[in-house]
Amino acid sequence: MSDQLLEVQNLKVVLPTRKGRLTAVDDVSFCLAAGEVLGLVGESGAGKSLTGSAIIGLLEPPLYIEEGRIFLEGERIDRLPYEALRRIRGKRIGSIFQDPLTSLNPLYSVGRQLVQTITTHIDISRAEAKVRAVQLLKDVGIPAAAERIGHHPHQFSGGMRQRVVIALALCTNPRLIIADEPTTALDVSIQAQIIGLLKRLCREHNTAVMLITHDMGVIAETADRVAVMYAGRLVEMGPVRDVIMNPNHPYTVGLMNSIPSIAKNVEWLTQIDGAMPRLKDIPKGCSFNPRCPKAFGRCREQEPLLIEVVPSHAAACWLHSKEAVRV
Amino acid sequence: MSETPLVRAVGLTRYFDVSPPLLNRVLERKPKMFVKAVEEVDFNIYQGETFALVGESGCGKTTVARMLVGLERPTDGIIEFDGHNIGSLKTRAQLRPYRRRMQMIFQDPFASLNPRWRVMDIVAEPMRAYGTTRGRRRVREEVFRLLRQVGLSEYDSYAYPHEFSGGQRQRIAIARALSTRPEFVVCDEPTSALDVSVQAQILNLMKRLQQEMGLSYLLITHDLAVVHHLATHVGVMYLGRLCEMAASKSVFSNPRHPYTKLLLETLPDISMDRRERAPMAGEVPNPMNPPPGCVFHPRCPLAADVCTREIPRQVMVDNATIACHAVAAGWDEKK
Repeated sequence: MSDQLLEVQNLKVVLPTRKGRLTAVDDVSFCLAAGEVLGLVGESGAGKSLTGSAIIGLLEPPLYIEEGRIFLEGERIDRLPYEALRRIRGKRIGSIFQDPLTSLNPLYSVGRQLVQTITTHIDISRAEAKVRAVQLLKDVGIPAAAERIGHHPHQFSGGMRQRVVIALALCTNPRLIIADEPTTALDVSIQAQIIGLLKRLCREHNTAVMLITHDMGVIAETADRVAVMYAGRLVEMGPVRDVIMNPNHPYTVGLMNSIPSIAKNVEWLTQIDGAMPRLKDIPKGCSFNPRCPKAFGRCREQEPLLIEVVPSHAAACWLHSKEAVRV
Repeated sequence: MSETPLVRAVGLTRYFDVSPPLLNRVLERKPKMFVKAVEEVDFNIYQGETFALVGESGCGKTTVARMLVGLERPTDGIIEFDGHNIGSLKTRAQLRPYRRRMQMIFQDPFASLNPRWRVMDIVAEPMRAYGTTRGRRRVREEVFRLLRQVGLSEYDSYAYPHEFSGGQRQRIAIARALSTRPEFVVCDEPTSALDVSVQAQILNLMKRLQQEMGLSYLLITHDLAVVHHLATHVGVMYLGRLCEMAASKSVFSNPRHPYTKLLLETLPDISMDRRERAPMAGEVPNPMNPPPGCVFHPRCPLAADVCTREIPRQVMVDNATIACHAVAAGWDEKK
């Protein structure tokens, strides 16, 4: 497994409360190869963003990692001291967040933010860093980059700001980018530009991307593999085409059918009744069983494991395994 | 479709004054400044129809909705509701009989329900305000009936909004909107704040209620897939103007305006065809300083000289109303 860029093993994130500890991310394991785009989808509260934050060590206390191991290029990074982790963030893992206005410092010019990030992580002079910053802004498609570098974030539009954030994430040539809802705050016509840009740059730099989003359309256009999360657990993972065309988990099936699409003409959308359970009342057994049209006795008793249904396409559902038992 | 439309907008225009304060204007000789949020928008909504206004943020679609229900006064133009011009009505008392017949569903069900009221009071408030149902018991029974109609239970009427999930809250907002038995419901991004599996529930509910009660909807959204699913007629807005208006089927199968074409082209979807899309270049210009001529010309692949000078008129092409020089002159087919 040493050829994997990122490896997450049995990650469990816990939120301690006065009424007990709630498991926000439960037993999540996945790998990411160099240059690969992994889409992490799920509804709000499914734990997809927390998984991302856990990897870069930015969980907000009191949330903490209770179990599990995270490896970046074979090196364990989940137990590193703060300073060592800070060297990894920004240098080897870049991140892009949903709202470009809050991820940029409003008081500094974008050039200063870029130069600062570059000189912090790479041993080059400020002048060299500035040349590099201008080139980066050009790469992300900002017109008149040499003049724009002195501008402050408020002087950019939403789409341009997100381009600056992408430039910031890429400025140290990281091996991995964690993009948490990078296009959700943008308009559709801008969204397509940003997705195209992210795809092109990551292909050019051979950067792996973990793309966290709730938008199946974005995943379908961008990702190589997709992992579906529900109530803190991975319920299905596989190549994007297989998961979208032949979903194996009833939740993914319901999710795919409930998305209105201009490619299909249906009178009624298939709906999944109910809503995702809150953390404090995740049901026993499979967490999806109260909403599942195919649930049977075992689903209410035992939690299914994520097992391969067809090679490289796994689902956590008792429909696909009569034998596997949680140990 | 020959009967009079339920809602008719003619030349609907709204400018917002964003001038600097008077003293600054005098001292610094700054001119008055206006944002042209909506300019000369015409459309008809017939009974039982769903008319969708789509466009990117800042294109003026919400301003149109607010003018229709009387929350905003038009700078110019006519709004007719059931044959009466309501755009010129001045006082709340004059608007009152029409307001009962139109209701609104908002985007954020966390902000649109009073957190300190029980669901019973929230749903009953419009009935009390307009006196459509009188008497404590009759009101209570009507609230129960409405909650059942939107898929909640009677017991939910004693709970507070925070006890419900986003989808359930949106159901409460819908029950409230239906409580005065309106004919026309304005839905401003009704599912944008919801997750996809819940969005499907709400869209199905809205469709079922429309069939049961003969409602007419004005649907405001930026999500073309939702429009495709729900709307019978579509108006595409760009920078305050309608650029294309037609039956939903024809917009999706045969878009004519270059902006509509590009919007549909760039839409990420789950069809998995993985074609390389050509994203639309550029961004929406600042509405305070819109480009001259056709507002879309800086981003338009068909833009010609005339587009930079003249504002395109609306023309009828195959039952679609299009505001584009290229379509009007027929040179869009050649390129």
